[in-house]
Amino acid sequence: MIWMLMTIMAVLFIFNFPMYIAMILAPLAVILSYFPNLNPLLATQQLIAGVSPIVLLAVPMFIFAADIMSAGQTSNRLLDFVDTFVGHIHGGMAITTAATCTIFGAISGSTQATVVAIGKPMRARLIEGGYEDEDTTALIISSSIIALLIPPSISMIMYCVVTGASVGDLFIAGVIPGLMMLLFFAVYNYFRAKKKNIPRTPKMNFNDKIKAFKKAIGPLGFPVIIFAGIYSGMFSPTEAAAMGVLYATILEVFIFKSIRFRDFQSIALSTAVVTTAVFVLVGAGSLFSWAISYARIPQILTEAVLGVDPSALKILITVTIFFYIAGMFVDSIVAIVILTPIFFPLAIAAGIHPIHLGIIVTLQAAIASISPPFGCNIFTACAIFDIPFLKVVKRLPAYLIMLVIISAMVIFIPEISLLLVQ
Amino acid sequence: MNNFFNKTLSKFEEIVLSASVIGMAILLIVGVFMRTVMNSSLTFSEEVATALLVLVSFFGLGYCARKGRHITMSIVFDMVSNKYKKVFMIVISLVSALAMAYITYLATLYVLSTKNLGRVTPALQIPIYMMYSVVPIGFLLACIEYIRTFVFNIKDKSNFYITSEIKIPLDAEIKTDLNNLIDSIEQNKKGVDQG
Repeated sequence: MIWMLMTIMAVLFIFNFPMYIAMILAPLAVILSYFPNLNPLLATQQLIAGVSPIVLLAVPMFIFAADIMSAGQTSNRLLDFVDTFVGHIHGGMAITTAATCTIFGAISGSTQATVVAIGKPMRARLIEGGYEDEDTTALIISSSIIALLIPPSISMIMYCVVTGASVGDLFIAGVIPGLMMLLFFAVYNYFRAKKKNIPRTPKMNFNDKIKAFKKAIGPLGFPVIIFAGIYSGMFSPTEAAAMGVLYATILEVFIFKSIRFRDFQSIALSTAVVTTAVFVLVGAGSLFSWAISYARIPQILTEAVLGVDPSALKILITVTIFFYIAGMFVDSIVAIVILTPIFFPLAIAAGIHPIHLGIIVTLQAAIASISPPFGCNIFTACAIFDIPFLKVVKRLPAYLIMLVIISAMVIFIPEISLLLVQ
Repeated sequence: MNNFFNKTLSKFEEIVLSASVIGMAILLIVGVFMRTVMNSSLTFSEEVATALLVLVSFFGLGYCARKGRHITMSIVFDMVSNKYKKVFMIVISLVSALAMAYITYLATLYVLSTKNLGRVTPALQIPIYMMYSVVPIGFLLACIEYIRTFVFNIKDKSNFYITSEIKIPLDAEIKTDLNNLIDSIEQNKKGVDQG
């Protein structure tokens, strides 16, 4: 039964079938051949139930807000802002890139959007500023994954829908690991720029700083609305996301005047297309986890891999490895909706905090997306910057080592994830 | 016939999808406004927004397939030659079409069974089967799209089709992976439309 499920999924995945078809066909085949008493019509019910939780409405709203801001001026204003503050220190431009990716992550919640929005304008500036191409691309794609940890994060919402954990808690729990990544990258780039003697830009005076701050105050308000709204209890995550759309619209249409109302149809269409592609997977994921839990596959599988009554540490390390490998091949959302239901019951039984597990899962999916040879962000960078694969991955190992250290810290010190959660 | 699918149907799908996203945003924003400022919650706003999300999730299947936007793992596909890419697409579109036909059948039966139960939504009292009927429609649109991709691949000997809209000459040299290939073709199309 397990072999049938895995073989169908693996074969369809490898041969380039749309993933949603693989994720619908495999559980359906198991139901039809092993549980003839189960009505296959219920599969449709599961597909619909999977996309119906109200908190999921936050996902298209965050995507929509990000699409509106990407069509406008937000990313450039943020770059200018961060640059005036750290441009003059060693590796200042590199640090600017990482910091801007962090802030933009707080706006868009998507790593690939971050590569496009920050990476494109910043790469030209970095190379002009004396940075090597290999360093630049490694920096950009590594910084872009901070977006997965910094709220709002779509992967995190998916984890919460699958497990029933609180979105607000997981959002705030991601802040410290996200800032740790920024700190590690900043320190590394400081010393690397010092060693390579990359010229520094002159220090800005106070007036310039005020000017840059004024220009960026609009975009910077976005994370404030999301955070303050959710943590004051004023908005649910879904409402906060809808407010994000309103805020982005007011900002780009009325204040910056960078987009017009008639652009909204094409912006909404691009949001809808991403939403369809992601949500059919979410529905299929719910069908998948319904079928496997009916067949008791999580119990059989985890017993085979982990033995009976494994320790919490053993579970965490297994989860890390599984999510890392899966994240290299498939989208982080797919990895989360398929793998989380398998490990979650066991992890909770072993006393692992659901938020701690959520941070580990998200972090591994993030790291996997920049791991050679298959990480999808590497290919995004190849395409956007039009440079060969080997050039993109040349300077990645340093970042991957830093990320492995952070992973170890997050696994062994639960407080990193749980400190800000009440 | 091709014009119907590429222009009329696509246009219709585009309008439905983008209007749903905008409608969702407006409903939720108005809902927040009513709750926080007017102190009276709109019970139907989240209900309708969820219905729109179900609509976008499934109604867009055919459109996404036609534009090559479904998420796939193209590692093996990217490595093989164009001749095998064509074989891949023939098999994928045929199996996908059959799978979609079966799921359309299941979903139709399911919707009919909810119709017989006569369930309605809590706030607006709309029959729930109306909201669910987008599911079989979406799968049917995807099924049609995969059939067309299959037929085009069989009929046309000198090109291969990734989707019914995206064709590539068999002798073309392909350097990037599937996703970026689709992106660049879309970019070119836009350029041609504007120029």
